[in-house]
Amino acid sequence: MQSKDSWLLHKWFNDQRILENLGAEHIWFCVSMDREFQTVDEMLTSRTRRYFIIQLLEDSKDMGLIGLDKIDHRNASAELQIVIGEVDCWGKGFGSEAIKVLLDHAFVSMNLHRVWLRVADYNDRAISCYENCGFHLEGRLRHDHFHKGAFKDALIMSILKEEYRGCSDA
Amino acid sequence: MLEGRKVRLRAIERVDLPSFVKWINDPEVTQFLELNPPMSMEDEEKWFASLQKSDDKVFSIDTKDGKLIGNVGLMRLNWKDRCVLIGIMIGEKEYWNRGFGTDAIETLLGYLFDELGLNRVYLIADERNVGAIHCYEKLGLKKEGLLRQNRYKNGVYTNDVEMSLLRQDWQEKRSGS
Repeated sequence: MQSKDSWLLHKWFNDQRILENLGAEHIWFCVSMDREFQTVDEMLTSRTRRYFIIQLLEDSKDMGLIGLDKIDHRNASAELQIVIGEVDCWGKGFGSEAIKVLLDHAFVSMNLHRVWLRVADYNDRAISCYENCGFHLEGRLRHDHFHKGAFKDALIMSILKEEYRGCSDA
Repeated sequence: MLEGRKVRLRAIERVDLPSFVKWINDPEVTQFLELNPPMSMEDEEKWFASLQKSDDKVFSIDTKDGKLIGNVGLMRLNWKDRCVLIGIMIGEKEYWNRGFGTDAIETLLGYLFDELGLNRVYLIADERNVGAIHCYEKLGLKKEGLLRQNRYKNGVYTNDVEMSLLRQDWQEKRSGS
């Protein structure tokens, strides 16, 4: 990811269809371009964050954002974040493929031990995608966020290095 | 604070610096070490300030009755490769050859392997420093290579020995003892 990709993030995070299922991570909600540039600058300079743009191989179309956040170097763990920002790319398995590529980077190149994520418990499509990638459910954050007039739960899922091989063979 | 059998390792504090300067300026203490005296109190204060902003970490070595006898440090900590370079100085000469340094290193190794989860701990010793090398071997470190004429000190180039202990060595050693 580079600074110029701020335009993509600005577009995706101002699209209600994208935000709908993200579990009210509203730090990204309807931000101005200036603010988006600042956010991206922080993402690019931080030692505890590492983000990539997901591109389609055949035409290099930018379709989404994926990365590791809250990288804990001592304990070798990080949080996975992913957004497929182009709605016409949904439901085609691109997210799963991107996650597998990122997990390979996390475990094989970065020598991490644990990758975890937080997902809204009503985001069924995402949850089944994560299960397909080898993530295990490990907990429920009760009333984690407020969405559509009520407090909603979020789930925490994770995959460990020793579990990861099974996923790449699948 | 890390408790060993004969020593404890604690955070270094500014009040320790005069002792460090005294040791570094004693040629007998630093004859085999990678330190280049003379060093002033001001040099040492600058080093102490730079340490606060760095991933390098130095512990003061105290005897159990609270006497400061040396220090031991971590350099080039690499989380991805999970390895670190260590170095030690016992500055109070009456504590030489009595197992204080060995205990300080063993205590540090426990922290590095069991708390920080590192995979490889290595050090570089002057080839002529046979006492130290013997102590490292007792702890299970293995010689892995000779760095020919790695250092220039007191008018001559000297060879260094690189030694290391792996996580698997540490676990074997502990399950054996």
